[in-house]
Amino acid sequence: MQRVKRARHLTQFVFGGFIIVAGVRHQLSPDGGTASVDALCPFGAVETLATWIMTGAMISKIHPSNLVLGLALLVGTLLVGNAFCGWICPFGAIQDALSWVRRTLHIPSVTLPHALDAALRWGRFVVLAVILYFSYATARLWFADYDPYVTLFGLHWLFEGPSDALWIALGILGVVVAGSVVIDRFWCRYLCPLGGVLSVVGRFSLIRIRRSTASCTDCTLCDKPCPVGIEPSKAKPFVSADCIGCMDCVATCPVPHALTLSAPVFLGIPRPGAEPAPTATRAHRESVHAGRES
Amino acid sequence: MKVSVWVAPVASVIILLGSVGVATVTGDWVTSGRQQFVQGQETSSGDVKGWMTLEGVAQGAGIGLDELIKEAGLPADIATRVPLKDLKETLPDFEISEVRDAVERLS
Repeated sequence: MQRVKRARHLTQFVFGGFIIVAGVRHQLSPDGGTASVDALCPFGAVETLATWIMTGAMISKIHPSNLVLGLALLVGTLLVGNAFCGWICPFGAIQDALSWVRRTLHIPSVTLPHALDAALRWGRFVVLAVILYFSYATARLWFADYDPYVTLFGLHWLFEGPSDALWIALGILGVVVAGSVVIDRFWCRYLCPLGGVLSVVGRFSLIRIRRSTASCTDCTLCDKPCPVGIEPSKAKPFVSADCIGCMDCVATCPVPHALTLSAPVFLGIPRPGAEPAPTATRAHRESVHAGRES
Repeated sequence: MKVSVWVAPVASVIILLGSVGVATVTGDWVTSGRQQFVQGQETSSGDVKGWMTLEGVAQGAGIGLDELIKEAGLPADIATRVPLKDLKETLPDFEISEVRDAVERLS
């Protein structure tokens, strides 16, 4: 458990550090010729997709690097699932850091009712639709003015004077930061348009986290560390495609083979006979339940 | 078939960085639309953008810097390594079109 968590946080730290360095270099570059944080975001490929298909051109501020990253993310998600959000995305790392701050300061978290949580998750697709429409209609990187990732890591707030557009962007970032303090991965759960895309693509992943109904003791220990609250303990048999691939649930599960990374999975359809043999003995189940209740 | 918990994150990082590596080798890793000037390279007035500096424009257009400044009606002590879009901060009446027109006339 700790090894997986440490490796994940180290990976997040490295990619987060890289993006901050890129943002500083871009701001300090005399001709602005170094890569901006816009150019290093795979979501740019989604934003320019409609324009690229219709005209063969890309919207302004989108470069081939966005297409390379977008394609890599698509291939990676199809092959091994979405681990980008959990391990690589710098904005996800910031939200994990905010959750850590909340836990350290003993600030209570907010748990939304299940129905409201499920409804709010559609917000990602609403944000996605709005961005796709305006990106195509204006032929520019319309969302960059509001994107909390660009606002934070683009460092315009540090290197440039205040402007109306910047205040709006900072306001949005403030709401997201405040939300992420009280709700783990607030942006990822309810608003991230790239997360919305990946939750659709993730349904077709060849590797998915699978819960063995025969082995699972329903102890729900795996639900507690999940940053996006998808309740792996209720998976039938594959966990939700909203999974960000952090692997905290798999590493937490005390029962061998109850929660595993399973492959190959075709279109999210469980293969008959692919269910691992039950491994939890009665004594094991009772000890897990006793541990939970004490 | 059970797969190691490390497969997904490790493969994701390798695919991402590998793609960047391959794109770099093939010349497809382009992160900026700003084409760098080559000494003496022809530059048309339409190519003058706000991110460019006076030095860069003069160099790209193959014209003298002093000549460009004079033709554009700019003060002789103007900052020549500052992006044109930022010159408005010190010269409120400055317009990038003045530089474009000057390049047009001198080319």
